[in-house]
Amino acid sequence: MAEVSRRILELVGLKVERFRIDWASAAEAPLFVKIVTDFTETIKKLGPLGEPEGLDMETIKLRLAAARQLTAKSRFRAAYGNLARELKKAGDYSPEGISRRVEEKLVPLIKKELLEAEVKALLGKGPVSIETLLQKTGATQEDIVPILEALSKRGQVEKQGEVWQPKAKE
Amino acid sequence: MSFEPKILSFFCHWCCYAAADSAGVARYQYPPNNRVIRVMCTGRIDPRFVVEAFYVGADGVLVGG
Repeated sequence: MAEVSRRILELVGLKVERFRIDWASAAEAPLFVKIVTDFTETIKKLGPLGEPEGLDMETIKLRLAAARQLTAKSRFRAAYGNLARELKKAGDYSPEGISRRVEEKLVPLIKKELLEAEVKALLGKGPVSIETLLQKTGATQEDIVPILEALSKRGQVEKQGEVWQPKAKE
Repeated sequence: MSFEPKILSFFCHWCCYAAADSAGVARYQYPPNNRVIRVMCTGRIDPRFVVEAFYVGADGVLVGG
């Protein structure tokens, strides 16, 4: 859960330090206070959402909306569940083992679905150039072109000169 | 005015939530920036919650088990 959350944040473009998981038992009030104080300090140092990341609120909202869609998608849920089952079967709960499996099984899916949702959201507002798409999504050319091609194959978008636009329904 | 972060915390009913309670009873001081959501177990938490928290404007998410 923690590793997947961190990967999503990373791909959204937020600092992973914004998410922390820690443990304090019911008897460890001083430790709890330390954790909360430490974490609050970390966030205070980081500043408001988007500031250290160099992203404006609009872009963050766009990307988080995409992430929200992703985490609700059945493809993601299934992959996430399968991964949990696989981890249990392997009995390997080391951070490295989890990280490696998440990287293998989940990160490509997360990347693709996030980008697709972002592209769809941007195109939903009207025609956009590939430069704007790249800038808003923070993706690379190699990542975005297959997505646009897949979408146009499905007849959802089309290229008009330099800009991409949603295809009008006939 | 200095920046006061909004932090959303998910605390396990049996661990951190109880720890927060006893910290209160013992009058330990800690920052008031946390909004706490109690869950019955840390295992209940899903990446979806984390994303949602940031979407609705949290600056940080803390999970306490």
